[in-house]
Amino acid sequence: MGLCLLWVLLFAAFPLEASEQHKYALSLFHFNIQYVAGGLIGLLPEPRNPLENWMRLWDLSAEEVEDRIVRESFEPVLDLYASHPTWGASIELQGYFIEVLAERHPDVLEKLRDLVLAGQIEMVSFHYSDQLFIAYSSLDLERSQELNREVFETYGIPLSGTVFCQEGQASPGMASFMEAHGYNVLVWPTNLYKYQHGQQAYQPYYAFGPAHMVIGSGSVFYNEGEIQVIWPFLDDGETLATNDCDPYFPFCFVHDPAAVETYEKEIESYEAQGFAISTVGRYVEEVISLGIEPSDPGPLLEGTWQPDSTDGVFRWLGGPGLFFFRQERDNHVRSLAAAAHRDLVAAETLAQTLEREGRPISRTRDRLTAAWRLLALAQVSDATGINPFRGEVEYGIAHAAEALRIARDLIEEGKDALGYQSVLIDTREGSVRSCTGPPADPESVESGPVSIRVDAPGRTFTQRWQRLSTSPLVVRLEIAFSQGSGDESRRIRVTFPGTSQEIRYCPALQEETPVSYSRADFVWDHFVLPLPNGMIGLDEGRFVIKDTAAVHVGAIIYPDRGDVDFADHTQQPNEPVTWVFYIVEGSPGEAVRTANSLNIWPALYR
Amino acid sequence: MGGTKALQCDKRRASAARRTWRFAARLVSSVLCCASLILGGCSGDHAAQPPEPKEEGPCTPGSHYDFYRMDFGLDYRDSGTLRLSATCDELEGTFSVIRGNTLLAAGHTYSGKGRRYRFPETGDVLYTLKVSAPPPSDQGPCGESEISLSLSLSGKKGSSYLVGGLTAYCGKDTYYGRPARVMRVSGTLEQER
Repeated sequence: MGLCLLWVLLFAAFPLEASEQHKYALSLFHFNIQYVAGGLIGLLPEPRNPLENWMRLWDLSAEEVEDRIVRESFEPVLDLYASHPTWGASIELQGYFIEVLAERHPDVLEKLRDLVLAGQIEMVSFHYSDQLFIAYSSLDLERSQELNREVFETYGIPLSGTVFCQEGQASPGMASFMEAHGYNVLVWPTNLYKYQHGQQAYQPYYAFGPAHMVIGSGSVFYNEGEIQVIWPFLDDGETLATNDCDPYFPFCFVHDPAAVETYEKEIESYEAQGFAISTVGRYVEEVISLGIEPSDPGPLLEGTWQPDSTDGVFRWLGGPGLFFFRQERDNHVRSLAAAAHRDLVAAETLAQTLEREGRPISRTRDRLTAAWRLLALAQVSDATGINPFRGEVEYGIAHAAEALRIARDLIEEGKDALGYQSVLIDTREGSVRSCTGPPADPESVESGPVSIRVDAPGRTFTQRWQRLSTSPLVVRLEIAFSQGSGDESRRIRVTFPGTSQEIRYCPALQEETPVSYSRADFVWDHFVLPLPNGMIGLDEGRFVIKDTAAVHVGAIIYPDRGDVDFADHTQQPNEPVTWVFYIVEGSPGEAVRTANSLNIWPALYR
Repeated sequence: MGGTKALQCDKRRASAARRTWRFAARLVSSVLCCASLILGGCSGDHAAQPPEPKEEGPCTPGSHYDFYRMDFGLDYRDSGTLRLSATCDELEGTFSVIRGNTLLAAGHTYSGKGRRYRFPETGDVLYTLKVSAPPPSDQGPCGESEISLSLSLSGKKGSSYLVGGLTAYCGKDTYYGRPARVMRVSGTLEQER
């Protein structure tokens, strides 16, 4: 009895090390200098009389909006942390943001650099532009990364190993990409996780391929409080210092010291409760050093941070916004950027051929770099979501068109240098051959291997099937939709029937390696996949591939059937449109090769 | 792993939904009086009868000309007219804008050459035109330096509605690098004869 009492007293006085509490308050500020890509001019009509002059408040150019983001929302956050040297936070922004600081706000850049070098601010950046990278090839992100790293190195700001992205984009395919580029922790959005697996008790951290993952802003109360994590802030950083106002509203998007003070007091209270005001990276390092093993997150599908309200990635790949839906043209924006990718890769291939032969084209490297930069800007997410107005839509198209022009000019010059009238540029092989032009159009066949369903109110359409090969069977399907009329004709949906219980596709940034997941592993009632290489399984041995330069809209899948829907609700009524798909009957490897030779590493006749 | 329990901490959640509703509330309260203008006047609706560029077989430059005209909008506050003549896929063209800006002189006729790029795999088209011109004043982003203007307009298969950019680069005949500005251009291309 006495011995028992002694044990109890000892436990009470000296709790076991394992139950020592480690408490973290993590803040992650996501800043986007392209919050209103291209500026606000055009959001409202031009005033026609003095009574409408208030609308001039919105007459802000891209540079003016960017400057306001820096001064009204970004600098106050830096000042807050500078005044609390023991606090840490993670700030995510794109390389383009750093360029804006360097060009027009060097004093703010200096503040940022000081805080990063002091270890207070963890610099998080994964893309040069706030692009919808999960809809495009890993090469596009590779080029974006190159630009990004160069910018951060130029201005002496070290990047951390933590990753958080525009719109909270996350993909299982990021793991190997992260490892190859020196990143080690992904912040996977809570709502994207819940959308797939339901409400969970979140673990301190998870395995993510060779890297790690935390679920932000999922609070953690692990092992009876041994590890506790709260997220005082994980949001658009622009809204903290402006009392929750964003750059679309110039009249209220101004620095409000009281809003910053409120947040400051909140953080002070957490500090008083024993929470370390930490960066994400430091937190993960510490829980690893405590010997805590990573948890298994289960299967993951790529998406964005608020799938409930945006219908996953659909909002950016065919889904309309609430206010300016008549101005949207998602498929034009996304398919043109996919087309620009193809010609840029072809231009690179041709340039390499000429360099090998000692006949380089003038300033090739600079021109390609400029074009890749334009493409990164063109892929900005806001050109197709969340509520883009015409200015943002056309920002995406304008930048993609110019990237494409540079690529095509290079190809023409390369052809002249080689003395070829027409070429076949095989980007996978890295070869350039003279040819007489595109091959004859394959013969049409009466029907294809699947019976599609088409829903296109207010439009007529024709289907054309062409057999390209028999082993494996590859057929091309072209659906030509006429002009429509009225709002209902904005909606086009094509359904490919399927029976597969598995979801077989290549996740974003992993277009060479297909995965297979059981639908039963997820809780959603439908899910929208971006499919950068266009491919997804329908049945055992049958796949559909969208030609992303013709139709780059979301692929909708379901838990209880293998059908795949492709839908666009932003097709302009008065314009015809042609969608192109391929059906492959063969192995997953054959389908992947077909998809990638179409969308990722194409062979182009030019 | 040990037993776990989630703490609730729902302040300031990143939320597209919230942004949407925030947007809605503010838009409705402050812009209600012109909502109809936003939805109607700025709509992308337009009548686009597609005089699609003809699919051409072998073509001898100079053997045949097509002429096009496009009245376009430029960055939503300006407008202008583009005229193109095409022989095979070689283009010559002129354009002018009404208001102008620090990179474009109002009423000035800019002329240049370009190409019509075809994409046989999709049927899409890209119209391009390059123009080198002095700046309208030395107050713009290029100062006194000559400006290279690159017009790139994308047309989807079967559609005559073109969208793209007029990209301004500082320097003579410099059609790459860091643009001084990418101006947005859109309009319907019409065949004149």
